[in-house]
Amino acid sequence: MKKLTIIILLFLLILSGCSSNTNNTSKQAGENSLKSDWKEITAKAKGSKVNIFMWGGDEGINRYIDEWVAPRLKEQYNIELKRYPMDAVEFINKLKTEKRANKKAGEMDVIWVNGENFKTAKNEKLLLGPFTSKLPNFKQYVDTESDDINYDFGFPTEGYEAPWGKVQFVFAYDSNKITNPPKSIDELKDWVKKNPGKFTYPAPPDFTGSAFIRHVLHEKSKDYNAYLNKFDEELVKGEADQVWNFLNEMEPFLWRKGKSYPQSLSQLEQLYKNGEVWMTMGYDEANASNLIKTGEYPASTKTFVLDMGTLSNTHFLAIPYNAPNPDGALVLINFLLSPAAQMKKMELEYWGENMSISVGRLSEQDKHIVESTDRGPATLSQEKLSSHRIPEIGGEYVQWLERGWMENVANK
Amino acid sequence: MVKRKRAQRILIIIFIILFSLFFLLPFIPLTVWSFTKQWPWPLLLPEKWSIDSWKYLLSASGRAGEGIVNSLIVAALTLMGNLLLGIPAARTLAQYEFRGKMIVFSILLAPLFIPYTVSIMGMFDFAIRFDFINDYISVAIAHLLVTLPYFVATIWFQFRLIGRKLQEAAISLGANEWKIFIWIEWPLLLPSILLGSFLVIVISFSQYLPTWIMSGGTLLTIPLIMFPFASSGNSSIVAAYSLVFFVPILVLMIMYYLLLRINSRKHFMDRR
Repeated sequence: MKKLTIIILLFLLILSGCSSNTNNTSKQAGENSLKSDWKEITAKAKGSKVNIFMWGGDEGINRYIDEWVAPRLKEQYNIELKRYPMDAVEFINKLKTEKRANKKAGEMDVIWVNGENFKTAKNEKLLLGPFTSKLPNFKQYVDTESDDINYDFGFPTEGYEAPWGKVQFVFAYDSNKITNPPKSIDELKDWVKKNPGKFTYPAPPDFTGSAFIRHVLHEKSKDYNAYLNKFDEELVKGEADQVWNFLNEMEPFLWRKGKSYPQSLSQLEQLYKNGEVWMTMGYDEANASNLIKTGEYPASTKTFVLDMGTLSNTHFLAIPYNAPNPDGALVLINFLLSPAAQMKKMELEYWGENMSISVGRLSEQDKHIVESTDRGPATLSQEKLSSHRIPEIGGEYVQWLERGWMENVANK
Repeated sequence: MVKRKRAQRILIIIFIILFSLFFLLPFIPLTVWSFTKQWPWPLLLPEKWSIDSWKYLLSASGRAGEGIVNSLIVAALTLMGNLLLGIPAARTLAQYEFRGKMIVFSILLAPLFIPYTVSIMGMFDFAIRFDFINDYISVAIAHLLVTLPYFVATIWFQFRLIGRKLQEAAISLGANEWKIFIWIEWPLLLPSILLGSFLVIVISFSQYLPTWIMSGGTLLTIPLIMFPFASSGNSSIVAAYSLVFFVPILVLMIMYYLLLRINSRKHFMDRR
């Protein structure tokens, strides 16, 4: 039995010997790097390791980071990049717990956020601070004046996050079955009435379904821009009835006569793949092209935007307050905003998503490359998309509308 | 009589076939799914096949190798902890009478009855306070909490079967506790230790939450790599990872049966 005791003691010894080199100076390091200039930052970042935490459910996006970005970051800056798959809600919760426990050195250097998650993070002081003005590529290529950079679902970004990409809402349809897609929400209703059972939308609070009903609000509202300001319940109360009336008029002509709605976008897409409905939608202008490529959508699929425009939003990269390597984080974000990285991201091979930097600021040569980039057979042209773009409204309005839909459309 | 025996044998064979089908059937859709992106309901087989999921799995992004290695390291550490803590605990509980024994026993088995999330929530604070401990070890400690009841219960049962008679005989011949354990109890326990170890490894392999909490999502075992795809409904990738997940378990199962056979043969020879 003595030997056993010795073994257990040894085990405990190993256990305590494994304490890693915790440095409590991380927070200070972060403040320091926000004060240093770009040359110092890149010099300090050399030979370090950067952890990016991001949603990991798409092979194309994962491969873009691991196969395209990581080797180039290593080659150009000698920085090792490691990607950890995690949902935004989860890493924000993780940060909250760490903040409460006053943990000074965390694990995350860069996080991928937008909307509600960013708002929580900024309000609860989970972020390092304003850093975008440090990044050379941000200053040179990003349109710093535009609203979709300065506001994230109506919440001011103030440099706490750097724009990584933009997505726009589009409708997709099968051109073998529909020759003239509708150009407005009212035309859509007429089309639905003429083709009963061939259209539906995911039930809010599904992200896509919620965005669909905001398009109705956009076209029914007298002054949509009023929704970009602070939350005012009277405003939305006054105009919401038109939205509910519109949706209720359409309901009997929906798929299954509106008695049930798809619960998620993937269910709606499944209906479209099976040919049960003739139209689908989504907050990603290149999604249809991606799915044609993998053979999931029929090759005759095309997309359209409404004449009055469709919603678009920007997603961002941020640095947590306790990032262990803030210099490396800054270098990584700057690299991801470079024209080369942004243009590669746009190619259908990996991701197929729109750039966050503005085409107007690129060199003539790069402009040419962007114009000739093949974004897939179903993706609309850059001009068509950017001239039909409307901004997102504040999170409170979004939630108010989602609740209202449940009361006035689903449970009516 | 002969006829009856034959009928019995046929029945047994049919039973075995049905039984193995029950285990094998789920693997068929998994395999099909891993080779296609789309398999709508009424179709018996998908229309389009692709090896994209496997290509992704084996690419740098897929991290299947890293996941398996991490899972194995954690499982091995968890097993070590179980052997060190579980065997003495089971022995004491089976062979000695003391006050509050039932309380100790039920506390040891508590993780089996208490809702899983309750015990996990407590780990959150623990995880942050013991942040300095290496990730592999802290995750293994969490897995130890989850697996220990299964292990102790298995070993405890075998200790009860062995009883105290042989040990008492050995004591009267002058053997000390340690010798009794090595020469009498360990060989008799071996089958149940093998079974318990197998359970521990398989349970450790399939843990998601404890791994996530203790490592802060940074120790990428197979379930952690797989989860983002499952939550975004990517059936093809999930199917491919699930199949990879079964490889080490299959190997372990084969090892288990081989070891069991070696052990029983040795006994047979000894007795002769």
